[in-house]
Amino acid sequence: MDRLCSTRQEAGFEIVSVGGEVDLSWSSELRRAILDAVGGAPAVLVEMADVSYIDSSGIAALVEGYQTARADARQFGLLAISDPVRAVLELARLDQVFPIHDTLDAARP
Amino acid sequence: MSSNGAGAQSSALVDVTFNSCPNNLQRVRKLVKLRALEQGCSDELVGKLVLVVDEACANIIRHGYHGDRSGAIRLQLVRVDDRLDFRLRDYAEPVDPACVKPRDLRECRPGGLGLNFIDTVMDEWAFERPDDGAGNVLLMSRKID
Repeated sequence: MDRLCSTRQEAGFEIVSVGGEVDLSWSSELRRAILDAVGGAPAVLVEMADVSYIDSSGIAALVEGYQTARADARQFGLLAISDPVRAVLELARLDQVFPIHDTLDAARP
Repeated sequence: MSSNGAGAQSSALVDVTFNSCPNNLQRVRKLVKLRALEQGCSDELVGKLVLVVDEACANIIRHGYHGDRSGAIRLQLVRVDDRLDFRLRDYAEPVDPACVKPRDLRECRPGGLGLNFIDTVMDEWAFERPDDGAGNVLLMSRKID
Protein backbone atom coordinates (compact mmCIF):
# COMPACT_ATOMS: atom_id res chain seq x y z
CA MET A 1 0.00 0.00 0.00
CA ASP A 2 1.45 3.33 -1.04
CA ARG A 3 -0.77 5.84 0.71
CA LEU A 4 -4.32 6.10 1.99
CA CYS A 5 -6.18 8.93 3.65
CA SER A 6 -9.96 8.82 3.75
CA THR A 7 -12.64 9.99 6.15
CA ARG A 8 -15.86 8.28 7.22
CA GLN A 9 -18.48 8.61 9.92
CA GLU A 10 -19.11 5.65 12.18
CA ALA A 11 -20.59 5.19 15.64
CA GLY A 12 -20.65 8.91 16.30
CA PHE A 13 -17.02 9.43 15.32
CA GLU A 14 -15.40 11.14 12.38
CA ILE A 15 -12.73 8.60 11.48
CA VAL A 16 -9.69 9.56 9.42
CA SER A 17 -8.31 6.31 8.09
CA VAL A 18 -4.63 6.39 7.17
CA GLY A 19 -2.46 3.79 5.48
CA GLY A 20 0.90 3.33 3.83
CA GLU A 21 4.09 5.24 4.49
CA VAL A 22 3.44 8.69 5.97
CA ASP A 23 6.35 10.97 5.17
CA LEU A 24 7.19 14.49 4.06
CA SER A 25 5.89 13.83 0.55
CA TRP A 26 2.24 13.82 1.68
CA SER A 27 1.97 14.47 5.41
CA SER A 28 0.48 17.90 4.57
CA GLU A 29 -2.53 16.04 3.09
CA LEU A 30 -2.92 14.09 6.32
CA ARG A 31 -2.65 17.30 8.33
CA ARG A 32 -5.40 18.91 6.24
CA ALA A 33 -7.67 15.87 6.58
CA ILE A 34 -7.21 15.76 10.35
CA LEU A 35 -7.81 19.49 10.82
CA ASP A 36 -10.89 19.36 8.58
CA ALA A 37 -12.26 16.49 10.65
CA VAL A 38 -11.49 18.22 13.93
CA GLY A 39 -13.15 21.40 12.70
CA GLY A 40 -16.41 19.67 11.82
CA ALA A 41 -17.01 16.91 14.33
CA PRO A 42 -17.17 16.60 18.12
CA ALA A 43 -15.21 13.36 18.19
CA VAL A 44 -12.35 12.38 15.85
CA LEU A 45 -10.32 9.20 15.61
CA VAL A 46 -7.30 8.64 13.39
CA GLU A 47 -7.23 5.00 12.38
CA MET A 48 -3.66 3.80 11.80
CA ALA A 49 -3.70 0.01 11.58
CA ASP A 50 -2.34 0.06 8.03
CA VAL A 51 0.41 2.64 8.52
CA SER A 52 3.72 0.94 7.78
CA TYR A 53 5.86 4.01 8.43
CA ILE A 54 5.44 7.47 9.91
CA ASP A 55 7.97 10.28 10.23
CA SER A 56 8.01 13.36 12.43
CA SER A 57 5.96 15.39 9.94
CA GLY A 58 3.17 12.81 10.26
CA ILE A 59 3.48 12.85 14.03
CA ALA A 60 3.30 16.66 13.93
CA ALA A 61 -0.03 16.40 12.08
CA LEU A 62 -1.37 14.20 14.88
CA VAL A 63 -0.12 16.58 17.57
CA GLU A 64 -1.68 19.57 15.86
CA GLY A 65 -5.00 17.75 15.53
CA TYR A 66 -4.90 16.72 19.16
CA GLN A 67 -4.12 20.23 20.37
CA THR A 68 -6.76 21.83 18.15
CA ALA A 69 -9.41 19.37 19.33
CA ARG A 70 -8.49 19.82 22.96
CA ALA A 71 -8.65 23.61 22.67
CA ASP A 72 -12.25 23.26 21.44
CA ALA A 73 -13.16 20.61 24.05
CA ARG A 74 -13.53 17.99 21.32
CA GLN A 75 -12.55 14.34 21.59
CA PHE A 76 -9.46 13.22 19.66
CA GLY A 77 -7.75 9.87 19.72
CA LEU A 78 -5.81 7.27 17.77
CA LEU A 79 -7.42 4.00 16.76
CA ALA A 80 -5.76 0.62 16.21
CA ILE A 81 -2.24 1.91 15.75
CA SER A 82 0.29 -0.32 14.01
CA ASP A 83 3.59 -1.39 15.58
CA PRO A 84 5.64 1.09 13.48
CA VAL A 85 3.42 3.94 14.65
CA ARG A 86 3.68 2.83 18.27
CA ALA A 87 7.47 2.64 18.02
CA VAL A 88 7.75 6.22 16.76
CA LEU A 89 5.25 7.52 19.33
CA GLU A 90 7.34 5.87 22.05
CA LEU A 91 10.52 7.38 20.66
CA ALA A 92 8.84 10.81 20.75
CA ARG A 93 7.45 10.07 24.24
CA LEU A 94 3.97 10.75 22.92
CA ASP A 95 2.52 7.29 23.59
CA GLN A 96 1.27 8.53 26.97
CA VAL A 97 -0.09 11.77 25.54
CA PHE A 98 -2.57 10.62 22.90
CA PRO A 99 -5.64 8.61 23.85
CA ILE A 100 -4.97 5.32 22.04
CA HIS A 101 -7.80 2.82 21.51
CA ASP A 102 -7.53 -0.72 20.23
CA THR A 103 -11.14 -0.82 19.03
CA LEU A 104 -13.97 1.53 18.20
CA ASP A 105 -15.94 0.22 21.17
CA ALA A 106 -13.08 1.09 23.47
CA ALA A 107 -13.09 4.66 22.17
CA ARG A 108 -16.68 5.32 23.23
CA PRO A 109 -16.90 7.70 26.19
CA MET B 1 18.81 8.60 -7.51
CA SER B 2 22.32 7.86 -8.78
CA SER B 3 25.15 5.81 -7.33
CA ASN B 4 28.59 7.29 -6.85
CA GLY B 5 31.83 5.39 -7.13
CA ALA B 6 30.08 2.09 -7.68
CA GLY B 7 32.11 -1.04 -8.19
CA ALA B 8 34.84 -2.94 -6.46
CA GLN B 9 36.83 0.19 -5.61
CA SER B 10 34.07 1.62 -3.42
CA SER B 11 33.98 0.41 0.18
CA ALA B 12 30.77 2.26 0.93
CA LEU B 13 27.65 0.21 1.61
CA VAL B 14 25.67 3.14 0.28
CA ASP B 15 26.85 6.03 -1.86
CA VAL B 16 24.00 7.73 -3.65
CA THR B 17 23.13 11.24 -4.70
CA PHE B 18 19.53 12.34 -5.14
CA ASN B 19 17.52 15.52 -5.56
CA SER B 20 15.88 17.20 -2.59
CA CYS B 21 12.43 15.98 -3.62
CA PRO B 22 10.34 14.38 -0.84
CA ASN B 23 9.26 11.68 -3.28
CA ASN B 24 12.83 10.33 -3.17
CA LEU B 25 12.66 9.59 0.55
CA GLN B 26 10.84 6.29 0.14
CA ARG B 27 13.66 4.88 -2.03
CA VAL B 28 16.27 6.15 0.43
CA ARG B 29 14.46 4.37 3.26
CA LYS B 30 14.32 1.12 1.30
CA LEU B 31 18.04 1.31 0.60
CA VAL B 32 18.99 2.01 4.21
CA LYS B 33 16.71 -0.78 5.43
CA LEU B 34 18.25 -3.27 3.02
CA ARG B 35 21.84 -2.40 3.92
CA ALA B 36 21.19 -2.29 7.67
CA LEU B 37 19.58 -5.73 7.55
CA GLU B 38 22.54 -7.07 5.55
CA GLN B 39 24.85 -5.80 8.29
CA GLY B 40 23.01 -7.79 10.95
CA CYS B 41 21.09 -5.02 12.66
CA SER B 42 18.02 -6.07 14.62
CA ASP B 43 14.61 -5.25 13.20
CA GLU B 44 14.19 -2.64 15.92
CA LEU B 45 17.48 -0.93 15.12
CA VAL B 46 16.79 -1.07 11.39
CA GLY B 47 13.51 0.76 11.95
CA LYS B 48 15.26 3.44 13.99
CA LEU B 49 18.10 3.91 11.49
CA VAL B 50 15.64 4.21 8.63
CA LEU B 51 13.69 6.83 10.57
CA VAL B 52 16.79 8.83 11.48
CA VAL B 53 18.21 8.94 7.96
CA ASP B 54 14.78 9.90 6.62
CA GLU B 55 14.49 12.68 9.20
CA ALA B 56 17.96 14.00 8.44
CA CYS B 57 17.16 14.11 4.71
CA ALA B 58 13.79 15.74 5.40
CA ASN B 59 15.51 18.41 7.48
CA ILE B 60 17.83 19.18 4.58
CA ILE B 61 14.85 19.42 2.21
CA ARG B 62 12.78 21.63 4.52
CA HIS B 63 15.34 23.77 6.32
CA GLY B 64 18.34 23.61 3.99
CA TYR B 65 16.79 23.83 0.56
CA HIS B 66 13.50 25.35 1.79
CA GLY B 67 11.45 23.02 -0.38
CA ASP B 68 13.49 23.55 -3.56
CA ARG B 69 13.41 20.08 -5.14
CA SER B 70 16.53 20.56 -7.26
CA GLY B 71 19.15 20.57 -4.50
CA ALA B 72 21.61 17.70 -4.26
CA ILE B 73 21.87 15.36 -1.30
CA ARG B 74 24.57 12.71 -1.06
CA LEU B 75 24.18 9.82 1.37
CA GLN B 76 27.11 7.60 2.23
CA LEU B 77 27.13 4.66 4.61
CA VAL B 78 30.20 2.73 5.67
CA ARG B 79 30.78 0.05 8.25
CA VAL B 80 33.75 0.52 10.58
CA ASP B 81 34.20 -2.49 12.89
CA ASP B 82 30.87 -2.84 14.72
CA ARG B 83 29.70 0.63 13.81
CA LEU B 84 27.66 2.12 10.99
CA ASP B 85 28.77 5.60 9.93
CA PHE B 86 26.37 7.75 7.92
CA ARG B 87 27.48 10.87 6.06
CA LEU B 88 24.98 13.29 4.54
CA ARG B 89 26.22 16.08 2.30
CA ASP B 90 24.17 18.97 0.98
CA TYR B 91 24.93 22.23 -0.83
CA ALA B 92 22.47 24.44 1.02
CA GLU B 93 23.31 27.47 3.14
CA PRO B 94 25.69 26.48 5.95
CA VAL B 95 23.94 25.82 9.23
CA ASP B 96 25.21 27.13 12.54
CA PRO B 97 25.74 23.95 14.60
CA ALA B 98 25.19 25.95 17.77
CA CYS B 99 21.61 26.57 16.63
CA VAL B 100 20.87 22.91 15.98
CA LYS B 101 19.78 21.41 19.26
CA PRO B 102 17.18 18.78 20.20
CA ARG B 103 14.12 20.22 21.87
CA ASP B 104 12.60 19.36 25.23
CA LEU B 105 10.31 16.39 24.63
CA ARG B 106 8.22 17.31 27.66
CA GLU B 107 6.72 20.05 25.47
CA CYS B 108 3.86 18.60 23.45
CA ARG B 109 3.96 20.59 20.25
CA PRO B 110 4.17 19.84 16.54
CA GLY B 111 7.53 20.08 14.82
CA GLY B 112 11.15 19.73 15.80
CA LEU B 113 11.07 16.02 16.56
CA GLY B 114 13.43 14.92 13.81
CA LEU B 115 16.52 16.12 15.60
CA ASN B 116 15.38 14.41 18.78
CA PHE B 117 15.14 11.13 16.90
CA ILE B 118 18.68 11.59 15.58
CA ASP B 119 19.98 12.49 19.03
CA THR B 120 18.22 9.55 20.71
CA VAL B 121 19.09 6.83 18.21
CA MET B 122 22.62 7.75 17.19
CA ASP B 123 25.62 7.30 19.49
CA GLU B 124 27.27 10.36 17.96
CA TRP B 125 26.31 13.04 15.46
CA ALA B 126 27.95 16.26 14.40
CA PHE B 127 28.13 18.79 11.62
CA GLU B 128 31.39 19.10 9.76
CA ARG B 129 32.51 21.87 7.45
CA PRO B 130 32.99 20.44 3.93
CA ASP B 131 36.51 20.60 2.52
CA ASP B 132 35.37 22.79 -0.37
CA GLY B 133 33.41 25.04 1.98
CA ALA B 134 30.04 24.64 0.30
CA GLY B 135 26.98 23.34 2.09
CA ASN B 136 26.94 21.02 5.08
CA VAL B 137 28.08 17.59 6.15
CA LEU B 138 26.16 15.71 8.83
CA LEU B 139 27.98 12.76 10.34
CA MET B 140 26.01 10.19 12.33
CA SER B 141 27.33 7.03 13.93
CA ARG B 142 25.62 4.08 15.58
CA LYS B 143 27.01 0.88 17.03
CA ILE B 144 25.33 -2.29 15.77
CA ASP B 145 23.53 -4.03 18.65
